[in-house]
Amino acid sequence: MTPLLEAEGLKVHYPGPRGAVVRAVDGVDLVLHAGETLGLVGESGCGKSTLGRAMLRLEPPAGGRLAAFGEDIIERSGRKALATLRRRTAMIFQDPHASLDPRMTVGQSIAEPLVVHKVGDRASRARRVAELLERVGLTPDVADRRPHAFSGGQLQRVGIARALALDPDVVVADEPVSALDVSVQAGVVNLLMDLQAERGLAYLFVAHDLKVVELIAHRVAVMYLGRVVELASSAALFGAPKHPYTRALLAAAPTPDPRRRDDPPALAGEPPSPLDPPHGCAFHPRCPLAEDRCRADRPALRADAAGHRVACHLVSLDEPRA
Amino acid sequence: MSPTDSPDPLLHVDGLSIGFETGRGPVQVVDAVRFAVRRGEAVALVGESGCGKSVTAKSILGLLPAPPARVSGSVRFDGQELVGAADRALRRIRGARVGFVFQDPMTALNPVYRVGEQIAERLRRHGGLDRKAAAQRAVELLGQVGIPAAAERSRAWPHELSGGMRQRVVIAIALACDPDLVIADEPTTALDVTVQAQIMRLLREAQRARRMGLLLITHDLGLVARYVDRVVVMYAGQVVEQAPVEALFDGARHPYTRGLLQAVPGAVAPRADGRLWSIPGAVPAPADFPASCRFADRCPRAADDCRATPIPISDAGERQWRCLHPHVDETAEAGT
Repeated sequence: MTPLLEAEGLKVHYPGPRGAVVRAVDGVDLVLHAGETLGLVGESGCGKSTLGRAMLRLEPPAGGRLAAFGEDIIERSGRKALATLRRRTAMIFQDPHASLDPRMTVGQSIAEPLVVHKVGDRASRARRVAELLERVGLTPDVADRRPHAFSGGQLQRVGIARALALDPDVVVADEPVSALDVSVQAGVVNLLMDLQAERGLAYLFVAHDLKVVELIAHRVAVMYLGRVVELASSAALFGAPKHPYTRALLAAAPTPDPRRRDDPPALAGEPPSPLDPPHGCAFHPRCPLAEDRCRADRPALRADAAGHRVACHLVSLDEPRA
Repeated sequence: MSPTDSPDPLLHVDGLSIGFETGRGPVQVVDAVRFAVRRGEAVALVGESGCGKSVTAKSILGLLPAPPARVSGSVRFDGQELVGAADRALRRIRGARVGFVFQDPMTALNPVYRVGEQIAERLRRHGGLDRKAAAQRAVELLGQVGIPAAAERSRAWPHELSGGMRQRVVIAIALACDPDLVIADEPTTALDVTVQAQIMRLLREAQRARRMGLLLITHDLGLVARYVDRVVVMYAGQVVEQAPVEALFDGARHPYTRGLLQAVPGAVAPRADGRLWSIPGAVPAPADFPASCRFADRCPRAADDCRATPIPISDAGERQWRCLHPHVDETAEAGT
């Protein structure tokens, strides 16, 4: 089956200081299949948010290939494909206070995608807004209120209702619950899972909270300095992580268990600047296992027989493939 | 004996209430908060946004602008009453006997001074060191907080350092005058998870090695579990539960604490349908705090009596809870 979104060797560059180039996304292959949740994790500056936006062509690619619903969306001939992309995809952002227009009522914000894409008339749009508000756990009468009247959790539900307005096939969710309190976060995560079960939505779920990703994602890609270093099913990645960085990241997430209080920090140092990435494997300066070849050659992303991909010289795969 | 009754806690907060003047009249956001931090002890003040934990921490050393803030009750630091104390007295304690670490290191650092100078300035003002001795000690402190090539880095500007390194500098400033107490307000919230572990470890080790008190203000129960001795849980401006950390995580008494612990992804097994445990509803706004239990509308155990009168604090030695229908774990109870 054709993937919904497909990137090959995708690059996104930003201009840095004094003519330097920041390779925020540096040659990534990624596919998103219908109905699945693909988690995208890594520390700040690893390029996960940029990649999420680039997959919807909200960032101009500096290289590589990008297709949506089987059609190229980089070439000029892809304009029709781009229109399809806008109608069939949506985004949920981290901070709904920033992503919703404070001057519009939430009803107007939710209806805006319908207006832009000329769907329905005034009355049918109002009905759709009411229906969406109810579905995300709010009452239809809040449609007339403005964002300042809502708590963070309620407003994120409004953001979700807006994302659902055009009944998309793909939703890119960029840290959708990381600004929320834990008791509220759980309700929003549950809502996202319920919506997927009902509608067969695919999520590209960008997050730094590994525990949330473990729960919601079917597959997970781990990024470090603009590249995917490991990609596997959620069960394989969390059950048997292969890349030393993934292992450190999992160990660093604080488990709410006082008996593990004396575990040493998993990793020394901080991610290097994307302005000046290390040679060879970008992780080698922090890697406890690094050898000479890690400092010299950049490891390719290789897959084992089960499709577990990892970019590390030191991981042996049972059946190496190119 | 409960920590607040111990004869000489380092920090003793009692009956602390904080209100704000607003356009629609006064609103009370913190209500009769009582807890203590002993010497050599790390205590977490934990709760979700709006619970009053940060305002409580800021009020301890008079960091809330008054007006609009109205602070009443008692805060005793090493026996000295701080509520209503003169600015000069507070300034002598701030920065010297109590160090601060805030969420965003850039707000704590002055962008136009080199980091070594900022540590040295603290040492000269509060520690009485001369210029040369202060500069030397600043480099030592940078080394102690894990900054490599400390002599060289002491000449760096704040913007030249990573987020984790900046927070280490802030910790060096906080520790500069050998404080008795460090107040850390969400010190790692802005940092990546691998760096977060390093910074918390550093704070905890400094606290133990120097036998300081540490008051950690946080929303993160993962940090609470790993890095403190005792936990004070706040909800809607009140302390709802206090306990040693193992006891709290083994068997929280207050339904809110239970709900909070269950809602952390990965803390307990998800529900049978694969979904997370969540707490229904939302925290009431301060203007709508009921006189009775503030959690009752979200609570699975609430009964009529919860909505009738103010809920007193129940006290059993090291544990306290504000609930008429607490979870009581029989095995833990046998020991008390």
